[in-house]
Amino acid sequence: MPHNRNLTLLLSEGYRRTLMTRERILGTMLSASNNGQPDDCLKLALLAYKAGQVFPGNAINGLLAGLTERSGVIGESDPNFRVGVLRRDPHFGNSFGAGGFIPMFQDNPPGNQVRHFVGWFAAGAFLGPRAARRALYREEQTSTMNDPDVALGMQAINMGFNFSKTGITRL
Amino acid sequence: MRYGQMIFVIGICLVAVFAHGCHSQDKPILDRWETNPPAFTLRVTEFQETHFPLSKFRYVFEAKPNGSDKWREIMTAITDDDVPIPREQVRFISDRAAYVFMTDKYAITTNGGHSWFIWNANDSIRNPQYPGQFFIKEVLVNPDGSGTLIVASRSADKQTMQFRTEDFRHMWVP
Repeated sequence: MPHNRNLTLLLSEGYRRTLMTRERILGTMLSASNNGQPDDCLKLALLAYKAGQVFPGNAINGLLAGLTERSGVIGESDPNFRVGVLRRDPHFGNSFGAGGFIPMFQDNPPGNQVRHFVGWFAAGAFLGPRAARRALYREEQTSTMNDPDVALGMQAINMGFNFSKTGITRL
Repeated sequence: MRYGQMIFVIGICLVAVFAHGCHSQDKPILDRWETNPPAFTLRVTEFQETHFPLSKFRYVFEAKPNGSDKWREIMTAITDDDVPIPREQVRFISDRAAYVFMTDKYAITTNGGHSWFIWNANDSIRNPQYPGQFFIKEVLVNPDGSGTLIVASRSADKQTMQFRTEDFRHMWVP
């Protein structure tokens, strides 16, 4: 009986810490979404840095669950802990756009290129570049790099794959 | 026997995981908007389609002509992000004529919603450098059937093209 009680305490403490961690990154993401400055590309870089601090060893899924509707390969992110994804979410904020991305990555009219990058970054890390590229071409119905979503998706897939292998990624 | 059962269960799980992760799934309606009669009624419904890694959002445009109790689909537009239903892109010209447009699709009726003429920008523009890359930016159709339609490129060059019509339907580049 005391063993069970200790286990329950341990689990609730773990749960509390997980919630606190998620609330910390949620606050940062929401503030990034609501503030006009810096631009969206720099916000993405700062959020990636923050995710690395808050979710050591699991930064990719931390970003994915916080900035997209996905969590892992088949899971769905918690609407209470994601920002800028669905308009009815409690923390949609001002979402994100395409500001600061180089012109070849900017969609017209501007889409949420932060979400787009994070989704394909995770796809590159989880599936590897070949399968992720196939999925990208299927989703965008084209493989031309003149398509801003394909161009950004390809960059994200390569960076995600490199990050998953080495923990380092460079442009 | 137990080993065989285990393999069977694992197989079923793998199929379920694959099906869930790789195929699109419709989710409940995200949003719906309906015009107010007196003319015929139009409505737009937004659905979320789950894809890997990111969802797509499907906007289904439907019409219910006066005297009918059935909704008939006019066209469907798909976007990458959950954007608001473009109410300002559903326009009545008279009590018999209305047009709608979203992404690369334009639809117009002149008989109270009984039949619709659909025009797709990317089927009409042959540009090998930017295949499938155009969206309709603005449409203006007058009660006499004359009008203009502007398309723009999704890509960095943001080039635009203007089409004209004199009969609500047939579009040409002047």
